[in-house]
Amino acid sequence: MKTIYVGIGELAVSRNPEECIKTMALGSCVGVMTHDRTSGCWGLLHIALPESKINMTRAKAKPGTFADTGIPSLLREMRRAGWDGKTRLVVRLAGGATIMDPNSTFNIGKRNLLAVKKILWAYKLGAIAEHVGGEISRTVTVRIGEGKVTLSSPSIGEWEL
Amino acid sequence: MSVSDLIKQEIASLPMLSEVARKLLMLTADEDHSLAEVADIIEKDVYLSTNVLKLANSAGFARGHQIETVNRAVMHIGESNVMSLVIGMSTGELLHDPLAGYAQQQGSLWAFCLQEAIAAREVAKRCKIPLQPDLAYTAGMLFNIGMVVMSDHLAKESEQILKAMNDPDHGSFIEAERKITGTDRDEVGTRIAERWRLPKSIQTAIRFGHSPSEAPEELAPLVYSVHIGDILARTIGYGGGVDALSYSLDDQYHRYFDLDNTALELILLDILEEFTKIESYFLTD
Repeated sequence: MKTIYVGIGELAVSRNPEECIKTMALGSCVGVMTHDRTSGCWGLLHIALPESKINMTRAKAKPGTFADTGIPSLLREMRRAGWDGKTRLVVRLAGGATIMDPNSTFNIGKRNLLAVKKILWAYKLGAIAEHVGGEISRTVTVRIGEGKVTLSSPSIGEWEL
Repeated sequence: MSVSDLIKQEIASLPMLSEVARKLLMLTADEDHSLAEVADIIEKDVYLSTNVLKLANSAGFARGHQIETVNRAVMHIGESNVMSLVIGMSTGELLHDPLAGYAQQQGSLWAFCLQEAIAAREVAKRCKIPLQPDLAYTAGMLFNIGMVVMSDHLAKESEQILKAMNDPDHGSFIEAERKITGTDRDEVGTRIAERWRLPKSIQTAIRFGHSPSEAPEELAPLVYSVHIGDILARTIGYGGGVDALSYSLDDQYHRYFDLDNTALELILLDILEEFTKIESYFLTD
């Protein structure tokens, strides 16, 4: 079994049942997992920030860093890998955690989630499952052969999303 | 033997920092030092000199021409990266070992120390009053040193830790450490810093970085830069062990820093980009 590791601001798409796609330790970052049931194609994007306007150079070099450039890139890669662009994609979300901040000064996790959902809505997409918020770290594994997404966190264990 | 006595014994058995490392830590904590003075100390240590030159000519820093003198290498990579080398070499495996009590694998703490250091430096650059960003970097790198001793004691109480973290009304991980073991990494880290005779400013950052409002006023900007650096490095996902993001933000930082959402996001991008530059060198060599 080959594992494709997705770093911060990166994405990966595959339909190979012998592969897993994995991203480690999502904090305030958000993992966007997509699945096209028709082609069997899966995608995983690890976004760090909501909007690309704060650093367009980075957005060009690593579009997956931002929700507004990462999601279009993920969908483009899904199409290249076999999604016809019409079948409704199954979307799952994970991450968007926050530190203990009663006044929500550092609310990057929440803003990331909001931005991701807003962009997905623009594509008429919504998540069928999500495990978001809180103060935990989440590792996401897309198990293509098994057709499932699992999350793990040191304080909780492993579970299916 | 009580946990407190065991911890005292463990701290006493930790390896001491090398003399060159201590000299550099003392020099760089003084705001009037120069990079030439840093280079002078490094030149007297063959092993450190070799590694400074190697880093200056590594993929993340190479600029098409070979750097052949320590002085130029120090100017090229900057004080922060010199201090990463010094601390990395001087602490040996201490910062690389897995931390079972925090569910962190081999190398995770070292990676987090580097990320936290970058974050503290970038925060310090935005201080409203003069503050040495490179000192914030070094303090950030050593801030969580107490974890190396706390880890085994927490591992023995892993059920209690999990219970505490899964309680919906749980406090910060530092509070859990104290409740379960009778001490915490700040206290333990401060004792290590005293044993290593680290500069007073760094000892203070270690002691109060999780409770910065208690720091003495003259060192509060440095302590807050380390506090915010730690929070930001964790926010982006680094250091994602069992403690994860269970840390409290002290929002009195605005006395020293103007950090709106854009500034915070720019710092997060700086952390990502600066870490990418050094990770292949520091995490594989």
